[in-house]
Amino acid sequence: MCSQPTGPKWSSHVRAANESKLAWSVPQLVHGPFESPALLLAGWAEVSQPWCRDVSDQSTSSPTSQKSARPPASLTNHARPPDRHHCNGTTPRETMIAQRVGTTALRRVAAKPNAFFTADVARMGVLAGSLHKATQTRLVATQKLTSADAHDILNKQRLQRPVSPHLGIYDKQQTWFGGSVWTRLTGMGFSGGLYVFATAYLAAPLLGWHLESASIAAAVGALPLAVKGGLKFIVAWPFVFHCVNGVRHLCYDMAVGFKRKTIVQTGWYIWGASLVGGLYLAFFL
Amino acid sequence: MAALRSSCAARLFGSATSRPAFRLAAAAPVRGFAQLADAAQESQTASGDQKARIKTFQVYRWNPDTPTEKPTMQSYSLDLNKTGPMVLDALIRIKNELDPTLTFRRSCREGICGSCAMNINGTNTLACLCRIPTEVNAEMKIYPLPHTYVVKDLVPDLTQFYKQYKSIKPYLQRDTPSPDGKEYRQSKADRRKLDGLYECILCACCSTSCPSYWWNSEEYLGPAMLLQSYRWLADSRDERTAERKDALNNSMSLYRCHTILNCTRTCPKGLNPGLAIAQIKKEMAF
Repeated sequence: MCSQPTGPKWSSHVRAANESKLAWSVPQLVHGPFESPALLLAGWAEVSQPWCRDVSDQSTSSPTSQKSARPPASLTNHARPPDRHHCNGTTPRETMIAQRVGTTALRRVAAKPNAFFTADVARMGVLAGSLHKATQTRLVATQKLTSADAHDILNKQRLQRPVSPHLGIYDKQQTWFGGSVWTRLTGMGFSGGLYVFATAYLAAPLLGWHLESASIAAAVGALPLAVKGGLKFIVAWPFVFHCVNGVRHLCYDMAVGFKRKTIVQTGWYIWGASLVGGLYLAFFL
Repeated sequence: MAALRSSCAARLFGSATSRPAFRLAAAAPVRGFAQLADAAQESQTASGDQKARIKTFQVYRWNPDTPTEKPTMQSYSLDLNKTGPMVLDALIRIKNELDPTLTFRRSCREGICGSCAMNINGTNTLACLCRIPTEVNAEMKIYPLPHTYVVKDLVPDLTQFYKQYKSIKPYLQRDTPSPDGKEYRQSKADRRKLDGLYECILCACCSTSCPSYWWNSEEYLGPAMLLQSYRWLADSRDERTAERKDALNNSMSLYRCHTILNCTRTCPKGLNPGLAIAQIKKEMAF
């Protein structure tokens, strides 16, 4: 997968590796650590996990398991990008071997002067080689950012962040069937209905409608029982629900009934009570 | 703990894993060293009685390096026999052995730090305190905390949350020195009022479970911050109670709470933010 650097070409290889890493080191520095102290600790700890191991319970379930195993946690792990598709990285061991090959070749040349290498040039070469050996070779290039630059990059990234899913994934029983939202919906329905009916009632004489209680009662009375009950239930259930849950919320205002078990239980009770009460009002009253 | 063990084993035999000849010899004695060969051998010989219990985890993924790609759900399958009991164990194992690019926060693995808060099977909780349901047929769905900006995968941006925490001045405010010049003392009864409040670890599970906070997180403080507010309101040593109440006395900060009570139902520490908010409302009213 990765080409092994052999022979004295090491310097250009390492430089290439440095350059290729520079490209990804910037985004890596940016996302995460600026968020908060908690993220700084936790996020960094996360990034420093050892890399792909080529192990899985099921071959089908592991998209990345085909990648070859990396040598265990090297010094450079902390700055490696999550995406492992590039393969320019050399391990310290490879570099060391490359360095040694380079110096040995130079030494050999120095011991046996010839027409192309004077002793001085060779000495300089050895000097340069040993200097390089004394200085630690860093395989990771980091870039210093001013705080203003960092802020700019962070802001750019913030604009792209998606909002995590909410109503679609949260426990349906708590969101879609929550007592609070249905109290609000039924209340909105009733107040909206009141406005609509009151306006229609006002406009009725002008438009020739008959919305007096007597004519409505006569019209509904003529319907079959099931339809009559159904229509009444459509009005009665929201009414009972709003009343029952209204009492529950009054209790909440007194700071009563906040045990987790009580919340869940009363959540079911109000649905039961409102259905029973709504049916009673619709068919027996 | 199998996850931890297997990662150690993988590190020890890290160089050998790429060579199949070594794999069998090295892996066989180490339990939890999840590999195909290992699994096959195990099912035949050593623990034939233990059938593999493969459970699928669906995890929310989004990568900031490719921002134009939409978030997706990625599924991973793990053998529960080789995985620790908690969801965090599974996540760590996925990261170590299946996909190192999976990103999430974790630190203490015992419900103290609040880093691994996420939405698991529809409710917010700490991955380290949430057991993996043992029935293998049902898939597990793991999302980041709801209605938060996603930094990457399961990591939400909590900047606003921490800013709000700063805004409630979460520290003791006093003008008068203590009588003995040493400590600010309080009675046992007064100290008891702080029980159930001081334990909050600010994991943001409750705030991000609250639909009201989803729609109004700019101005509404949310259950976690209101519980913290009440922690300082209830403290007998604090002398800025009136100012603290005054700061809450507007239509948004406190009164966007409609007692939906998802907060109390979701709190992984068993605290009661809903009750704390009700107490504040009561104190403000009477």
